[in-house]
Amino acid sequence: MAQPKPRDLFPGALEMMVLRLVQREPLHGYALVQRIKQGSNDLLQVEEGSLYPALQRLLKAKLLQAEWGVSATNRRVRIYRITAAGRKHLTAEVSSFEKMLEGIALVLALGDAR
Amino acid sequence: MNLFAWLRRSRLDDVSDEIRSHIEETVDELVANGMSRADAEAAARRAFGNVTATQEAAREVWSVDSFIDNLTSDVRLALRGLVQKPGFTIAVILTLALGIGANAVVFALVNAVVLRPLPYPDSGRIVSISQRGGEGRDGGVMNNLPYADWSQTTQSVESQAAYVAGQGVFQTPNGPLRSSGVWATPAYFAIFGVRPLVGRTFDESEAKPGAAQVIVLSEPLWREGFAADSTLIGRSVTFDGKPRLVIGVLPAAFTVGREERFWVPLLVAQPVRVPNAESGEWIGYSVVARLRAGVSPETVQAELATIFARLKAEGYGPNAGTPVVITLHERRHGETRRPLLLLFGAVGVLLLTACANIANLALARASRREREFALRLALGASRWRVVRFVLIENMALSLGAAFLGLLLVRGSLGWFVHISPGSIQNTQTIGVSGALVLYASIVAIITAILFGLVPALTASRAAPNHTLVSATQHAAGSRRQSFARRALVVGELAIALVFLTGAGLVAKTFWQVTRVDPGFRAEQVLLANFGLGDRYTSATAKAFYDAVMTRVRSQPGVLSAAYVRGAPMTRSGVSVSVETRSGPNGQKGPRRGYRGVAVEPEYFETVGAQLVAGRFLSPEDRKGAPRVAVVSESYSARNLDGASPLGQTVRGEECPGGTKCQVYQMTIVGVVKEMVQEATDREQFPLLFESMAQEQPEGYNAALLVRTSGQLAQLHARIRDEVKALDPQQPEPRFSSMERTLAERVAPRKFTLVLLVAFAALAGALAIIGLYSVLAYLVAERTREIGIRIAVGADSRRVMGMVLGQGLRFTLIGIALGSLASVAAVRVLRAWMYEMSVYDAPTFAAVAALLCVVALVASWLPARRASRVDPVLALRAD
Repeated sequence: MAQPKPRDLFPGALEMMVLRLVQREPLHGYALVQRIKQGSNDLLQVEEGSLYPALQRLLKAKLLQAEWGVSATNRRVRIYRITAAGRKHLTAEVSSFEKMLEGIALVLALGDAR
Repeated sequence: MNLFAWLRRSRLDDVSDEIRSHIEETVDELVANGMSRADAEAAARRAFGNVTATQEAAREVWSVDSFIDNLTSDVRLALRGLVQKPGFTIAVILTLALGIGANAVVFALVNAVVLRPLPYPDSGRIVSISQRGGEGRDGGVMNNLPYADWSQTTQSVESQAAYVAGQGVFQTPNGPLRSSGVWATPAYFAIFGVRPLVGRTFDESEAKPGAAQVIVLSEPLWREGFAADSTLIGRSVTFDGKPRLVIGVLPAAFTVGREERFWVPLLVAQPVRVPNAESGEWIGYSVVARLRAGVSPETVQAELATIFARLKAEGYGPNAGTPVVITLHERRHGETRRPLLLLFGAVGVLLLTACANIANLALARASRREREFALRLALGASRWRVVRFVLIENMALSLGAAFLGLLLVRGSLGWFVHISPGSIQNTQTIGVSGALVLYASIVAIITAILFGLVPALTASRAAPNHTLVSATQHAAGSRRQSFARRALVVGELAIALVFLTGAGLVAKTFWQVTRVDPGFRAEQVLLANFGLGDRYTSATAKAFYDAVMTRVRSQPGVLSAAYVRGAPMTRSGVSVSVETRSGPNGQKGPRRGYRGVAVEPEYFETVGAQLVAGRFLSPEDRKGAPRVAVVSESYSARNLDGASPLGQTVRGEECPGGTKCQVYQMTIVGVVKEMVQEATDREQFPLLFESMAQEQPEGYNAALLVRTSGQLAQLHARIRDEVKALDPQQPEPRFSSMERTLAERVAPRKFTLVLLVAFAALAGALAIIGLYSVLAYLVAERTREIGIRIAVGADSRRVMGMVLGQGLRFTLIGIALGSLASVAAVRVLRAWMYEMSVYDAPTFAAVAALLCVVALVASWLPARRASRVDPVLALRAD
């Protein structure tokens, strides 16, 4: 069992980040973990146990495609690439996420009741 | 499926490879940061977490595939579990294999006889037409007078044909050959839609008096008798002593009756129209017709009814009874269908019993496995998954049993067909077919669901915490289960009793039939049938018979010899004359009549008949002397209302010219003990023996009966040689031993007997095993209670009595229910009974007693085990 995280990601967050990262450049699993860690200034630590099933879900939904390639360290790895459907999905997800975030922020910013 | 497996496998490998690379990269990085490789590997694995779980989770995403994966793993697990419990597995598979096998055998017969159409194009439109005589019997033929009238006026059939089956003798390059064949009108071939293999069939111009004599051969006759000589077509063969032109050969597959080897044009006799004729001026033919499209047999029936009514009004009453129009399928298989469907029902019930038994076993097993299932549920298996697992297990058992059952069918079907009634034997293709395999598989799947669903649902209801925490056997489900088990056992016992009663009745009947006194001494008697055919006139036949007799009498060891027309059990020769007399108020009286047999005076000595009153026939009863007869004992009761037959006169009828018949009077001079005469034991008629010497014409178509003190085989060879010497063109006579014929007479009964006894034994065994297993389980369940009873002073006899009482209670309820069911069920056996009622009290009682005794024996073992419970161990258990 991995160490419990202070806070679990909400459903869909991991997928959204994966899609966003892969949209920038094709990546393999290990690199994705590193990017999320670095990109979030070590705020987020992705569990491999969640990443790989998430990748499979995205593959199954045809939001990603995968092919075998060679990593920087010269290992045989599976490199994920975003599909057109993936791009569309990401845009929609991000905008709905931003709306949600804005809503949450507004609610949290309410002053104390009298 | 293979492609699926490959796809699934590769996706799985992808994820594993990917994860391996991932860990290796982590290791690389850690090593680059200065960690030792071993530490780095451990750290990387730790960091990654549970590799297998991740793989599983990644795989679960493709849920259809994971369904298949789970399924295969469940199947593997189920098979492993079954292999680990060989006792249970073997018991279940054997029980089911017998049940499914029995079903498949009967299905094969039903399929061949009931379901499959006859092997002719559009065979549903072929009908068989006959008429019932005054006494209501369907002789299978129609008289030429109504046939002629109907043929000319019918609107409802495309074509119709009359035919007669018979035998003829061919002279082949290998010597004389006797064959069966058909005399038919030309439309016969069109009705059955048969095309000749070579040449052609005959047409109307060849079925007229004075036309060229032609013949069509069957392929087997053409091959075996004439070496498939293609130049034979257009040449003549010698048939019944006269030349006939061979015009065609029909394929071997074509048969309407049983192995017809030739077809000859039938000249339908012109009906003689003599109203109110005292004697019969008619000839009967078998009639088939092909209905016009959309016409039903009832339409033909109506057409005929009109004609019959007119004929009756015109005074041709005896010539016109009631028309019978049925499909050819019905004619051929109608009589077999009912018993076969009954049999089908019986094997169905048998399979249900087997299911009940296995459900019982599975229930007992399920309660032992409650903890296993509870654990699975606790570990997160869904209830559906647990139910599915149990069903998979059952399916594996069922399909295994179906496979074994089919092997059993393959091994035994030939034997079943061999002992089955004739109309089944005549059906050409009965075997393990695709339909049969499909049927067995469907039965297996239904069976698996039947015997598996209740245990499966019970298993899924196992409450994890309760069952896991409390180790006690009295879990929530067990009361419900044990009621189900008890009900199943009582049901099984009831069904077993029904089967056993049926088998008991049929067995008793069989025993009675076999020990019936035949009225003669069958040992050391040989019957020779010559079948002289049309080559002989009655005068030359008489000379032939006399010559054979002289030579036979001179053989060493021959004690006595006589000619007979209508020898016992040969279905040959003389007709039955039956009449139903009207009572004073016009109601129908008992059927009167007799079976006429023509004999030489020595016949009585040869068969070993026993004289009851008067005298046997003697050589003085010759032509010109007053005509006399000897009757059997039952004649008086049946025809004379019990009066002494001696001195009574009987009216006889004979047709010396073949068609012109005359009536004469006989005086009864003797009474003999009843003799077995009919080939089946269905209906017996009183016998009436006449002297052959007084007949007109004399000595025609007779069989030779010889009693010898020597070997039958030797005598057989001598007669064959004598016949060959007398007439080289005459084929070998057909020989039969009276003793064997008498034994074969009961053969049709054997089929029912063997099947019912086998079923009863199976049902009985299943019920007893069921009873035993339930009692054994109850004892095991109550071990603690029994231990306490013993501890507080119950003696072992009391404990045994308790368990035996439990067993007896089940048995008595089962027997009570079974007896009620038997009373209803045995009615279907009425047709099989011989001089006994189906409500035969001794049989009912004996069968119930037998079941009771066996049930007590089966209860004995668990009872003894209960009485030996060690209170200390029992209380400490769990």
